[in-house]
Amino acid sequence: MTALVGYVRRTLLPLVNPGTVAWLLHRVTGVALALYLIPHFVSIHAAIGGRQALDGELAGFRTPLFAVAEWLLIGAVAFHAFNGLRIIAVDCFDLTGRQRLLFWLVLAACAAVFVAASTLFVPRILAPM
Amino acid sequence: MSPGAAGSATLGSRPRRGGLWAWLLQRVSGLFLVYALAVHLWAVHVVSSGRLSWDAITARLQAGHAWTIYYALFVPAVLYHAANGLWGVFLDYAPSPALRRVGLIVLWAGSFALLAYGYVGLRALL
Repeated sequence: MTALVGYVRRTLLPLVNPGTVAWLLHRVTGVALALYLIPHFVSIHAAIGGRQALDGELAGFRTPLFAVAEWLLIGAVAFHAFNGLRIIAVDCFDLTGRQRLLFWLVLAACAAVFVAASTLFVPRILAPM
Repeated sequence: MSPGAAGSATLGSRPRRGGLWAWLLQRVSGLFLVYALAVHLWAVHVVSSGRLSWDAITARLQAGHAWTIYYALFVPAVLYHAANGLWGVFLDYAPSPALRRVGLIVLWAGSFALLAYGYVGLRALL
């Protein structure tokens, strides 16, 4: 137990700084979004079966579970986009000294998008079609 | 933070050729995707909210050249950005040259397969 506490204190906690958290979140959201492209393109392929096949496929997405997944997806896209802009800004405009502030701005922008998206997704989660 | 950034020189297994173009293209495609995904998500979740269907999608795809140009840029941009992003993650684990070749083939073949598979279905909507 003391070994675990020591490991958390000496090894894990020092890793928790805006730069590392941003790097980790950028990587996790990036890999998740890249893998999401596979089912996304596969579901587009359903159009080959015609109008009924595609509309059937799309109707299957209107469940509360998909609403939760799509809401999280919007959050992942928002973080990856805003943090990507932060990386480009730091690269191009020599903002290394301001990256902490920029990281909090990224989180604020993400939170704003996520809350705004709740008006679309929360009703779908609570009252499924 | 990014492939080719400071510090990568210590990783001897990282290829130097073409790294600058990959870095630049990742930034350019990324900037474009911020715009393209905002349009995409708005079209799908706000404009077509709750009634995304064959009719809604065909109407959008047949609405004119602007949408055609948009999708002709959007789809390759997203596939490149995703494949190159995964490639950067893969390189961080210092794969052997043989494994690197396999990774490169999987990413290129996977991207083209996905593009072809999606397009074959999408053609019905055009």
